[in-house]
Amino acid sequence: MEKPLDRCLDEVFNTPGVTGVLCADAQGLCLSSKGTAHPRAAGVITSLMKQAAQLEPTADNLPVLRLESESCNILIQGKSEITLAVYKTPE
Amino acid sequence: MKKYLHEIMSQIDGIHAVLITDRDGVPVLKAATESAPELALRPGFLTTVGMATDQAGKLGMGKSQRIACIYGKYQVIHFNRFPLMVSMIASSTANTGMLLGLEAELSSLVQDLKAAVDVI
Repeated sequence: MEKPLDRCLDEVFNTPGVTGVLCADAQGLCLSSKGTAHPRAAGVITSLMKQAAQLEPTADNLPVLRLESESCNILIQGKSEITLAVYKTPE
Repeated sequence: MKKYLHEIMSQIDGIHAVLITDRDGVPVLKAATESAPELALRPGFLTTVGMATDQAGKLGMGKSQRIACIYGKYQVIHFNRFPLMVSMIASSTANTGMLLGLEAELSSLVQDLKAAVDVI
């Protein structure tokens, strides 16, 4: 049942520079994760997405979050009830 | 300790109560807001989780560690920390992943209570 999702995440994970990818549902539960993305981060990632969306409630699309740290950059975006986080090596 | 529980509750929107009980549902430590459903705070409700945890352990996948029950208006998360049980009651719209993540934060408190209960 999760094969189409896994295939999609594999495609993202195999992109150069990507070290991890995580997909979470609206409740903050991890649907799938690969690489350095820890499943326990699903709750925090969903929560960050919800908080960011409140900054511009009238916007048509949810914002893209970019968290930058020394060891990696994390890109987060949500659509309908799914939130996706991509962990990348810093540029 | 109650103050610590209230601080933890303030971290996540929608948490109504955090209870640490024994296997019979008797509260060892309780922190609840006014919006917590009273029925869910009673030993009669909480003790059923202990039974469910024991039954879940017979499914052949090892001991049950956590149970998450999501209802129409509320969700109840339980962590099995024998002989204690940690129960969190929250709104059904609260972030379940964040609630499950609180297990690590409550770990040290539960260890201290476990030591106290063992002495008794």
